Amino acid sequence: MSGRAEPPVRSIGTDPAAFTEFYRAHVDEVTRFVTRRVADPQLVADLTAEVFLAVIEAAARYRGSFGGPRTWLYGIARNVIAAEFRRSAREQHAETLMAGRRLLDADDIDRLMEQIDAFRQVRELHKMLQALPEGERAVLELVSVDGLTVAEAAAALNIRQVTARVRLHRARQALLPAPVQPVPEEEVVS
Amino acid sequence: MNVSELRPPCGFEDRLEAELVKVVTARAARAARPQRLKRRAAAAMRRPAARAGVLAVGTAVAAAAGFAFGPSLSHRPAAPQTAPSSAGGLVHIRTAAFTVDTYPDGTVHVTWDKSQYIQDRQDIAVLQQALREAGFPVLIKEGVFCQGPHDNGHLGQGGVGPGVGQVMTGENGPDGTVVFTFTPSAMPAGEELFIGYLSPSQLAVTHGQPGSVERLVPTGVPLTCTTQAPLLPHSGAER
Repeated sequence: MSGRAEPPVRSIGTDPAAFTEFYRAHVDEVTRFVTRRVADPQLVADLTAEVFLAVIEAAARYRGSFGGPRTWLYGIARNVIAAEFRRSAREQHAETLMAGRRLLDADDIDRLMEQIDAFRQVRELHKMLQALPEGERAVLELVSVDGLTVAEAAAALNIRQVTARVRLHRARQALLPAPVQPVPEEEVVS
Repeated sequence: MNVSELRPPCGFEDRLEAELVKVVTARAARAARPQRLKRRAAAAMRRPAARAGVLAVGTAVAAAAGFAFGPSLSHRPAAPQTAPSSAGGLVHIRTAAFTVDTYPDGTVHVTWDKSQYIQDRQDIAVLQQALREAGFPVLIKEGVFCQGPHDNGHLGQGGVGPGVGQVMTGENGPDGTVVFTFTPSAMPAGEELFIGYLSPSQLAVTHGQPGSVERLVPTGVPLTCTTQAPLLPHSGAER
């Protein structure tokens, strides 16, 4: 996506041509973003649809972002996924979705399953991060799971870069294995 | 860069693109509507206020849509005419059978005498058009009941399908009227509300339970429709 001129983001909510251009430039990345977090192909389809619906709704409020529309898009995608994880009753929410799963055929499901399988380890990492405080987890997630730079992650989360660096450091520290405590010799049972 | 430089997506992503473009196109149409309606409203205000046969058309919406709110619409007595609204984009319609009003919060309120309303097919067509002009996607039929390809046909109490309560709520008003509030912004993308009113002969079977069926149905795909009126569990109706 990077290195290519982007369509004017603020018009993609009301300009079909601009939206099509934006969608084609980013749909693969959004799908990958979702499959790094979700292992159900039907839910992947729903959430991919919901990310772009959110993009359509939010486009008019776009005010630029470090890293351009890509980081803005990551911020939206992350909010959509986070909202999904917060929902306690999935069935209730299903009624409000575009129901992207409705658009899936057998080939799509096979293809998404391949992608889901490929990201199995990444999803494991993503699960590990859930124990971290939200702010720290968000930065580490975008950097370690999605491959964004710290500056891009800061832009996606709408925080300062120095804040992102501090949070990233704390997150990494928290994930380090606890140091092995030396055992006093008298407690060693031989 | 133009669109042709990007590889068109295939499979699910291609179909999703088509659905989303519909959403954007609809938004573009809504965004353009206020200016168009203002021009129509101005034109309507220039016309003679009391045209023969006009029951009450509060906005340019109905006028521009070519509705003939006159004796040909209904044989029922005409309702009192109301002052037309000059607010662009708003809909205020008074007919003998029902009223349609948009509110600043975006909701659309419809009041009607249901027992009269469902006896007049032209009223149904006019109401459907009025709701659509007010920004609420709806498909209304009489004696025919439609559902989407993935709808299991389940109906809750009162003949209402899943999700309908988010976009439409109703309550009994005074004098036997029914007041419904439609919320266009709550409508899931790519869907519309289907309303199927039972015909008089069907009502005779169900005894008004239900008197109508409401479901959310997908747009742009063929619907499965039947003239078989739904029979709700524990409705007490006989067949």
